[in-house]
Amino acid sequence: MKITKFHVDALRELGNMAAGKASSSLSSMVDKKVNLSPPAIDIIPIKRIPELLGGQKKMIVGIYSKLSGNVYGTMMIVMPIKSAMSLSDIMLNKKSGSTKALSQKDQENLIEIGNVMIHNYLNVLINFLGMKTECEKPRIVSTFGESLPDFILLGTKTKYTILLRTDFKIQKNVEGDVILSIEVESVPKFIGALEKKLKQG
Amino acid sequence: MDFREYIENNKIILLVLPNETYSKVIMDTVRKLDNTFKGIIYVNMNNLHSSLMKKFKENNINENNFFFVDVITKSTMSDFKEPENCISVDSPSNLSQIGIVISEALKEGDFQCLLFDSLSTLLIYNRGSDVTMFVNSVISKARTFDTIAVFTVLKDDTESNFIKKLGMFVDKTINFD
Repeated sequence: MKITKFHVDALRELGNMAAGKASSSLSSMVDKKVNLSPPAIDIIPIKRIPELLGGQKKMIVGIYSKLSGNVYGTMMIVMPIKSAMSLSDIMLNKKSGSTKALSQKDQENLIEIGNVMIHNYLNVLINFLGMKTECEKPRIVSTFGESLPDFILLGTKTKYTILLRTDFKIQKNVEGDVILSIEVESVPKFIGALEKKLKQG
Repeated sequence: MDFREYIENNKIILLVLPNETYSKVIMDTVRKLDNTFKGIIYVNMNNLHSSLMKKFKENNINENNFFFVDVITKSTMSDFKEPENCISVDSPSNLSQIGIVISEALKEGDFQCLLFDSLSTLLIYNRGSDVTMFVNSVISKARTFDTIAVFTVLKDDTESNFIKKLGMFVDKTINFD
């Protein structure tokens, strides 16, 4: 299946709507404004993922979930460790800079944030495209940023992926990425659903 | 002074690695340790086991010279089957379990060296004071078994006070620039 510029633009717009919904859910949870950047979209061989996503040379926290059903892939919320700790401060109404290590409760809160964001993001895709997609219970991982692609690619056997990425920011202390990686086998179904929906107007 | 002599003169070493070059420096260090010592315990907190093995291959490091204490893969892949030279710990916040596994490995195996990569990951889930106590206990065990211990921290992701404090317990702190 040929992916045209039109498809890419439509996917970007869809990613924008989904990220908007995810950030709005985050905003409700933390009662703060969440700023979003326009989504970046890449259709790339998976061997280029490390180059695109592995640039962060710092410790990061990732909350991720594998997707299955009509769409196979991974959704991940990624933050530098300092942002994850600041987000924990905000969630628990603690003084800024209080969290020095992520306790079990902090981790559970972050997983819950990830869970809500991932579900809201996916709901937009599922509702718009009418696709059946399930996501497994999110897991949390902390690692050096350069290892991040290993987690996104875990269990992936395809050669290409569609990568949708949106940066988010809360005040000055919290920044992160919402990343959706769709395996190439799912792309025809995804684009097919997108075309059908767009034809319906 | 060659690498072996330098390490053996110091025994307990803290490597402070710049974030920019961490991945390269850590593999260079592992390769040197592999070429120098027989039997190395590698406490892996940052890489999926399969990714680490791929890096070993790319860097001509002999994985059979290592025993892995893996603190990351099982939490990501519950169906991970450890190879014979690997044992998993459920979570980086479980300092007691990590300590016990290291102790057992030191007791039961014939290891010349222990590499802990990295304390910065432990600090994400545990208070600095707890990590300091934990490191002290690992150092005592390493001294008891006359095993060289090399700890790593990431310069930009670790509070300088913690690095200073640890510096008091180790024989040598090496800052990579």
